[in-house]
Amino acid sequence: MPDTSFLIPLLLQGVLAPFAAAAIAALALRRAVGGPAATALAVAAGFLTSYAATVQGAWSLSPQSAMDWQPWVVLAAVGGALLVDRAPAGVRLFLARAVLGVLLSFVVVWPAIGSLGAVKASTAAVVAGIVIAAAWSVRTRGLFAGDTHPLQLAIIAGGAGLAMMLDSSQTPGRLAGALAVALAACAVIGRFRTPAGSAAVGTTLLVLGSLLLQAQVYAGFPLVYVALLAAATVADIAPALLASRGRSAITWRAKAASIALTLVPVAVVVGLAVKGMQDSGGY
Amino acid sequence: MNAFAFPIAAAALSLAGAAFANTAPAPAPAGTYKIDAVHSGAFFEVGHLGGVSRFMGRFRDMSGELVVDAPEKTRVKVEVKTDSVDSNHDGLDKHLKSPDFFSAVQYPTMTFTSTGLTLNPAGEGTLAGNLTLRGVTKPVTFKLRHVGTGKGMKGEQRVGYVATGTIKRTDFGVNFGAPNAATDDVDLRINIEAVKQ
Repeated sequence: MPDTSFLIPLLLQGVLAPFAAAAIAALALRRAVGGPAATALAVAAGFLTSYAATVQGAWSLSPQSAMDWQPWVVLAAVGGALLVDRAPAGVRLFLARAVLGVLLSFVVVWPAIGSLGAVKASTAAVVAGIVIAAAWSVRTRGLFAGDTHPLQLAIIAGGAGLAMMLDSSQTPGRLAGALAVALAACAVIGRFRTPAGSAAVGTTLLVLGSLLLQAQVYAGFPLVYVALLAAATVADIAPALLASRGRSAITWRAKAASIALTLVPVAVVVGLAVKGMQDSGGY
Repeated sequence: MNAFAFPIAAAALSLAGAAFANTAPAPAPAGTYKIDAVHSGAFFEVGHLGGVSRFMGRFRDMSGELVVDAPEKTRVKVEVKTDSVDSNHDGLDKHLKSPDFFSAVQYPTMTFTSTGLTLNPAGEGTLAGNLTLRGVTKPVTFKLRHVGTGKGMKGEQRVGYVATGTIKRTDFGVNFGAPNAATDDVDLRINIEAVKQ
């Protein structure tokens, strides 16, 4: 009989716990705070439940490492996402998102300043924050048919998680997987019809960005993987533009193309990570 | 046993005993010694998969200093670069350097600073001190063996020690996969050869 001592905790911590927490939160909050905010809060609840179950010594009141900071980053991400979306659309909204992205990214790279130096660490935080804000702004400009579906974000988070786990960033990888599961739970509760909404998109991108930044800065997760995953967040821009020009007849095709285009860079990243693991012999 | 066997065996044991007594190393001359990184090493060993087998790795970059004096004045300081961890497997090395284990970017060094030393005439004793790993400092006590004292190729004074001990990695925040993937108890062995300055 196969040894399930590794698999069962992984399923409990990374799948069942975030799914249940996100689903309960989405159901409970839907009427209280409205759909979009409920989705963002449910994603955060699912992620934090998995974090508490996965990371030993979690919720440190005196965070030392980037992973110690992660729950506070998530809380700030969801709170910040709900808050900045009140800013008027346009440049000010983008700037508000960029400031939030840079601040949270800086929290992630802060413990590495001693090794990286202030300039390199700050540059990484600024670039990460701006990329997150740009992806968030593009995804919520109304270009995408039916807005952003939670499963589309789940594909990116799940692929990123798998790639990080294959590339030796086990804990960030597992947590990215939990983020994907939380998004899937929101999709189920929304009967696969409810879009993610701006706050949930922002929360997801901020949390996933912080995990990828951790993996890159602290464990050498390849930059090309990060770039491909960032591209995946807006890979469906072309069919979205076509659909937004009134070609309603091809909307379903645009949606299919949208998912396919999102899948391509994600699949490439996972493929590269599998090859990298095989080349190093696995262990 | 025939009549001659006992005296022969006794003589052999006596010779062996004399030889063993002679293995006690000459005391190291007092002074400051610098660790010779080429002939020194820091090794760790854990039980893999909760104890199915013993898995060993090492750190390739180690430096430090010994001040040899009377035991109460003797001091040892060892610094190990966590980025130099070597498990003989590139993929595993990358994981060991990550925040799941040594977090080499945030904590590039692991240090040991002695606080007390005992050494008997046979060259065996204990080395107590503070081990700092991942920013956590805990007292640890190693078993210490003075291996030898002698001259190098250029006539320089050299001295060798081996320190062995066991720590719990979770005490230092190295929690990943404990104890199912790798045991909490980690055996450490530090082989030191140092050159008198």
